[in-house]
Amino acid sequence: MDPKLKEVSQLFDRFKASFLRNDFDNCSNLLSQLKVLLTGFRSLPPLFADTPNAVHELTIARDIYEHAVVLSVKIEDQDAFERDFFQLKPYYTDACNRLPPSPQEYPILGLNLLRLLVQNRIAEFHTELELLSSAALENPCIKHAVELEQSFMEGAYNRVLSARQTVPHDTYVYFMDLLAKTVRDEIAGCSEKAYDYLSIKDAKQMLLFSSDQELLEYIKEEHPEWEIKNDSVFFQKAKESAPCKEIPSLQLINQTLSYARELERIV
Amino acid sequence: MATTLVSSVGGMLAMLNEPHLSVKLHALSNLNNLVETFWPPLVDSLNYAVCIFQGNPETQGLKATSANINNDQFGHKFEISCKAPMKKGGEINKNK
Repeated sequence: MDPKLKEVSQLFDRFKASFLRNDFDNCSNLLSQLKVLLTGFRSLPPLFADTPNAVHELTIARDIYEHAVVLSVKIEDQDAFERDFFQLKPYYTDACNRLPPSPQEYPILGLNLLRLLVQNRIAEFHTELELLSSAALENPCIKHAVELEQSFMEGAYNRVLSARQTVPHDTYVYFMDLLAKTVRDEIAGCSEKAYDYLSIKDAKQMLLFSSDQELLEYIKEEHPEWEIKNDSVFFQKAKESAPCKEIPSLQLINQTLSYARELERIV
Repeated sequence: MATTLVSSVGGMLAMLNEPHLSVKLHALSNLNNLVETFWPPLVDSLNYAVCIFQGNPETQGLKATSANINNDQFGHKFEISCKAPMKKGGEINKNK
């Protein structure tokens, strides 16, 4: 075996051992070293040189980046997730002719879709979805993210939250918890617009809190402009600070009628 | 390169954000070879890429992976890539 490849293999074995022990600091250090070593392989994207150990090098590199993606979920670093996923993606799209499919491909693609959903990057979510084959769309990991997005767009937040119980992969729990927060923020924004005030009891139920204390802490942190008095939450102050412009309906009607009149003259 | 084997430079651009310098420079080296094919997505990254060169005296000491990196060459090729479509655009405007 090539000495460089052997070094990478040994270091990767140490990484996997640390990963199993949940020693994430050591994992991050080893990962950094592995990435530096991988820069020495010419068989990896974008060069794809035909070296004697090309298949082995590509396989181990893909495995390393897949572990990097999962590690970023464990350490809850979304920026690292995005960096590692973009570096992993060529192994799925451009190297698929040189390598057998990875068993981790669909769970990781599903994780990425979930991340975009959590970050409310819906346009990119659909862009990524278009790149997938019809076979991929049938995979439970992908289908889960698609159904979540549909529920989210419909405003069926109860389905989004209950989906946490049926995650297809255990790495999804982190993003599902974040998604719950995204949903709560959406509901809070809608409540602010829809109501002048809500009782504490109703607000707690709407925002899916189990205790009054959690609700009060949330309001203090996220919505300090809300006012709490007489056992109710008042949104009036928030409305005052963000005045909505009134539609000049009379002016619009006059303009529309005059356009219609002008068009009739032309005919 | 006679043919382009990758469909995107997203991976290389992501490498530019890695904390380790040699990984950044590895990405730059590859981007240098791909600039004429993928210059549109590189536009937004140019300033940042140049900063990596200018801000790191360690560049001189790096070995094989950074041997081919040349700031002027990168900038020059990029400039050519930018000029070509701009000239063409100018001609189109004149025709109108």
